[in-house]
Amino acid sequence: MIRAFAVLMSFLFWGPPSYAQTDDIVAACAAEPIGVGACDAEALAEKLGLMTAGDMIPFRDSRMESFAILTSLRLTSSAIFFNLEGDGCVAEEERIQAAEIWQLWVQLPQDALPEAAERFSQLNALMNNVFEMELVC
Amino acid sequence: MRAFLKSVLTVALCLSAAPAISQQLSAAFPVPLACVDQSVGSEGCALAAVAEGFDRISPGYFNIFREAKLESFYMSHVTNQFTGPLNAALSGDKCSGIEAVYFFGETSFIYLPPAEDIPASVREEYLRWQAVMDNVSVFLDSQATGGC
Repeated sequence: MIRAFAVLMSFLFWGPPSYAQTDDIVAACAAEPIGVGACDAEALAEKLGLMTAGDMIPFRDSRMESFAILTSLRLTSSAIFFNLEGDGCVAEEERIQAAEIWQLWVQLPQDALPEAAERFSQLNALMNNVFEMELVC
Repeated sequence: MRAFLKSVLTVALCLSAAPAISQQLSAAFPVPLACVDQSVGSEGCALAAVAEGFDRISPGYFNIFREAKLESFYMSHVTNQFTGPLNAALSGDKCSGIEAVYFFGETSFIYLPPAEDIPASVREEYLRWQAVMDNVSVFLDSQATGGC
């Protein structure tokens, strides 16, 4: 009871837990290659595919290209799913599109808010791992 | 002398035949300026001219918005999404724009900030682009109203 009250109070006063605390799969896949150890490829694809414009708020607040980030992450999700289904050629096409958008449109501004910088750092590491993911085409 | 006169005449003819740049949104977004405050299909904003303009948008057009730290990727994406349906409407297909209109309607309020948040350096061009997009959206939506 006391614990539930404390959680409720902390949520009301400080908002929901930060991205780093809630997104274990993103953190795991930023730290390890895709499909290795705690980085479950299917869970990651599901997580990225379910991301919405609401998840991009910190990037928008930092005046980043949040739609480009979201689009690139969704294409990444699609690439991982295709790869898991054994369709490496389609996965490669999706990954190329994701990489192009990520590399051409997504940049962290010097004056980015700390939360955006933290999230971007994690997602950038994750994307680097996706770009190195082995695909069989 | 004759060659000189001929070249002068040619240039004059070309200038008179081509629409003046001031009548367009910009060289990089060559849609009739009238489309900012007139509906698509009206006299000053013919569907053919709008479709052709969207076809010819310069790839670099959105750079000014990018430099102003706006969602230029989104702006480019939704503009491209309208291009196909505009050409399809020209060919009599009234239904191909439904998806693009829905997407624009559902997302524009997220990615397009209000005018007061737009840097002054690009505000005028941004508002023109947005007005044209709104007019195209209304046009494509009205086309589909008859039933698809």
